[in-house]
Amino acid sequence: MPDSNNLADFLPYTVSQKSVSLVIADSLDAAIQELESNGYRALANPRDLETEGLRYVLVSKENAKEMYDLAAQYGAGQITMHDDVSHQNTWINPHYGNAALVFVVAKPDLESIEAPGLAVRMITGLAIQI
Amino acid sequence: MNRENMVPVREREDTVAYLGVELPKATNTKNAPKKEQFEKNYINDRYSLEMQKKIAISFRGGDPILDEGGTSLGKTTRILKMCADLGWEVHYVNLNGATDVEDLMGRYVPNRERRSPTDPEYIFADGKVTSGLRQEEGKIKVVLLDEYGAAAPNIVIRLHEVLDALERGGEVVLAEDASEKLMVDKDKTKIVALTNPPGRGYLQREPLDPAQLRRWVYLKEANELPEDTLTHATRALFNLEQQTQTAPESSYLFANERALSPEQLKEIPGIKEILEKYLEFHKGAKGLLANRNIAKDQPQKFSFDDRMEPRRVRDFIMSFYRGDINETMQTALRYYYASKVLDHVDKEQLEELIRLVEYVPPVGASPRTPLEEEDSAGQGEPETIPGGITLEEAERIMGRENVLGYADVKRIFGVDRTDPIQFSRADLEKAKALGQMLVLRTDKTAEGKPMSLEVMNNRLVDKWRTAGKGELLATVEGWKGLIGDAYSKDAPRAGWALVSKNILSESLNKNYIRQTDILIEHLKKQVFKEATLPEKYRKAIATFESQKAELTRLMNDDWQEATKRLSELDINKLTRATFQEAIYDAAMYFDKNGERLLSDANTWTSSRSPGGGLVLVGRFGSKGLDGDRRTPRFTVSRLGVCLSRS
Repeated sequence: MPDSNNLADFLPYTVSQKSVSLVIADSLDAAIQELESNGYRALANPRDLETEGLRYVLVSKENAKEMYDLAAQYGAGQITMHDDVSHQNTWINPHYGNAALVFVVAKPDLESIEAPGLAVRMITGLAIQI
Repeated sequence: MNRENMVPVREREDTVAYLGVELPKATNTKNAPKKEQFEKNYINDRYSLEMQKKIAISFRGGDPILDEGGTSLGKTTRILKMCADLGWEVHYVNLNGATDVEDLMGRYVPNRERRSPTDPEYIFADGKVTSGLRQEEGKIKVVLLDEYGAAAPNIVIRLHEVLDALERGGEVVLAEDASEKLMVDKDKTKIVALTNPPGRGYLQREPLDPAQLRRWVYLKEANELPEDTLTHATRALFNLEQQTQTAPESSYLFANERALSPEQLKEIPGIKEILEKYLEFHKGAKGLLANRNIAKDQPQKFSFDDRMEPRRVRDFIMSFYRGDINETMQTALRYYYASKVLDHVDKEQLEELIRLVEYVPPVGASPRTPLEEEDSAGQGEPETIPGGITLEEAERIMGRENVLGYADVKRIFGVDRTDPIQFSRADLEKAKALGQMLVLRTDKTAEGKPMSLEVMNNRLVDKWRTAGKGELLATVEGWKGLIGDAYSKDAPRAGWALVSKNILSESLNKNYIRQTDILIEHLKKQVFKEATLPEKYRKAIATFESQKAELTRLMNDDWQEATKRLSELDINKLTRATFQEAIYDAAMYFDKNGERLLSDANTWTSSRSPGGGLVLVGRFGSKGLDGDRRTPRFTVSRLGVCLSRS
């Protein structure tokens, strides 16, 4: 039986989900190491979400609003993002088959991220605390 | 109504219709959501279909929508899916945590393209909302404001300026861009705000100011999916149900091919009269709200605005009026008023007021519009009659054997009648499902004499005997003794009636008052299950209910008085046949189809015999139809009632 606190056991379930999955970690370094050893890579460009692949994003106070908006749209079929360089809206149509998007957040940061109303846990799907 | 239009989501080359409400596709669909994302996964259950219809109505009118409901209703996905159908571009903005107006409306940023000192150092970059407002060739855009209830006040104020500009069809002044004037068009940009209800465990959700809410068409959704929707949607996910649920015909709404002009609007028959009733309704609805008789448990307060609601109702009528002002007006009121309350008791209170907003044309007046008259002139199609149904259509819906119409009356009783069918298609479909027949009754012979039992019998007796079909009345003398002079004087009420072919089984072995209760239940839960109970029935039921205790007492203490009052009650006149009608109907059906209705039971009519007692008719065998009279408290296993309504 999979261990409910074991990240390696958890990750296979994140594939093909129509919602962003959440890892709440005591140690970000350990979580990232585990993710990468399981084939997950940091999301470099949101446009990558249109192709197959396993991705993660570190969520902090700095990018919390942007990631919250992304997660809120992820399962709805299309994501509108505002490009800070071109200052124009761009549209991303997420690929769900054989793809995963995992948010990783440090447990101590979670409360301060959610305090202004960005209820990350409400808009993400599968979650694990490690 | 053309059946090919009865597709819940009907796509054509350049339009998509949601339960009949048609929207144009964009021609430039470059950034629209991809249809493939939804084709295999989106469940068009009835709840979602109904919501898509409501949203489509507002999109057609260019009204901004504020959709409030719980988190699991699929509000965002629904909009994205519609935009995928239509090829419309979505500009999603999540207002939760957004505090900077410039993020939405735009700001000056360093000019990365600057090549020379003459090039501007800074240029204006659109914000998330501004980009949705800019018009582009072939595009239709939706600005989707998610988590609107969490928006900061400064953002709400700025957005309202945008809404006001769209409403005026004017321009948005971009104070953020040296007061650039951005032309906006509500046909090209639609605004949808989504929000969770304030309170009830939702973070950062404070109620909106009701005065601000007036700018929106406020749709109050449930906090959770209705039970039957949840069941269907879940089963559909597992492929145990169709992805798209069928919808009853009554849920469809069809617009005019082109909106009415103001001149045509004022020509609608009854528009002046119904507007007076609408104004009474509006005041009444406001009163219910002000006195907290409705929506008292809704944390989000709202108003019925004196300027916005009448304008929206007018626009709705201009767009959707197709010949029945009562139906169009009442649908508009359900949409713009009743949709704002959640509790079913609140809805019913509004519904009671809505039902009163009705124009009753004077006898002989045509409820058809001049437009319709023009459209139908000289086209050589089957005659369309005020109920909207031709005899041919009625027969198609109900089956020829169940329609006793013009030719049958002529053949059986030698009378020419041209009465239009007052029932709607939905009425007939329901009637068919409930085992009813459609009968055209005549009150006079070709010579103008009453179509009495005596006339009916004389007309049929030889013909039936010759054909070996038996008798009509068992016996003539018996009927004369039972009903006296009425035998040769009284006639059926003329016109079309829908009649149950069989006794309502639950009415067997019940006294007359309990039978009346059962007829009322049948009306409410079967005949008008998915429709509004017409005013005449509501009034008649209210009268009956107010007298029931007294009638029950009289039934035991003074049966003659009880009999008299029961036979005169409107609800019994509206739902029961008289004895002449019951015999006329059974005779027509037998003559046409060779099958005797009421062959093993009796139906209790609304007629009172001269000797007292209420007349029952039935046991139709080869010796004819039997009759008797009974006191209202009488019960027996083979005595029940057939519904008869006209």
